[in-house]
Amino acid sequence: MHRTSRPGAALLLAAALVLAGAGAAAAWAMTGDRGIEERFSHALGLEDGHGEEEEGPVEGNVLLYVAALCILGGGTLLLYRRHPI
Amino acid sequence: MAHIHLQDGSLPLEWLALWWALSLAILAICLLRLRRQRLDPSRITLAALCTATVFALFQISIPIFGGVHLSLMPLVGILLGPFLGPLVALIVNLFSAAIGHGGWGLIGANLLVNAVEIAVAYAVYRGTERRLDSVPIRGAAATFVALFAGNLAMIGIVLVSGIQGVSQSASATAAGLAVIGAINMGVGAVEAIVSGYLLAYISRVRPEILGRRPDAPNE
Repeated sequence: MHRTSRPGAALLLAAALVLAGAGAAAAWAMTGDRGIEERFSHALGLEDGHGEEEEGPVEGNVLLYVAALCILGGGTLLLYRRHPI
Repeated sequence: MAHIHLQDGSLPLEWLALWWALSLAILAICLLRLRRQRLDPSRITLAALCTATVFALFQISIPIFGGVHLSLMPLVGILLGPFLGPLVALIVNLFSAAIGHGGWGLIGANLLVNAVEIAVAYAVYRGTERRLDSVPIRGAAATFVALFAGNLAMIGIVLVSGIQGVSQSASATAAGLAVIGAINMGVGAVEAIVSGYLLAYISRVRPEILGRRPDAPNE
């Protein structure tokens, strides 16, 4: 089977990475200096939002965090006991 | 680094339920396959270390292009395979949601995106084994292609689901998501280099993790 030479593959990959970097820089220049959540909200038309910075009744709630942790821990224990791997 | 950075309530409930159902089906298949395999304890340890590392990296905002983060999900796919990898992605997404990084309801959708990255990275890395010698180049290429596929999955999920309470047209949303995808691929280029370097290091010091003989020549 033909094996691709290392310099050829490396050049191809480098070209793809450089192109991706240039595309990202152009996209960034078009949208301005925004954070991840802000850019997401802007792209989807959720202009009011600063994305996840505004905490709703669910996100960042300590009680829900502890509840989710307990459910996850209990569920994992049950699964492991029934289906050990 | 494709990840749906939205709050709960952004996507319609019926679509969230569908993405959750699909991701649970994938997890069930993974668990069944892992039960059939004789899973070495060292792989479970590696999975735990990968989970901790990926979770930490998820939360670190790198100040380029306005602030981005790496994910290393393709690296998880290459190191752990397509069945153990999604379990790592589940834990990372659960704990990320717990600290407000992505909504709880979006864990299913984000898990699908990560599962695509994991499966594609594994397939490309293993699929090019006979054609390409170099571990770092294969690793970087697999990472880059996987992140591209993850971006497509992310854009597809958001476009198909639609955003609640938004009046802008689907084409405007698609254009916005394409810009996000372009920026993500710039970060993907960085992640590809990082992953390629990490794989080169692992292949030198612990080649058995990559399924290579310890006495195999370094590339």
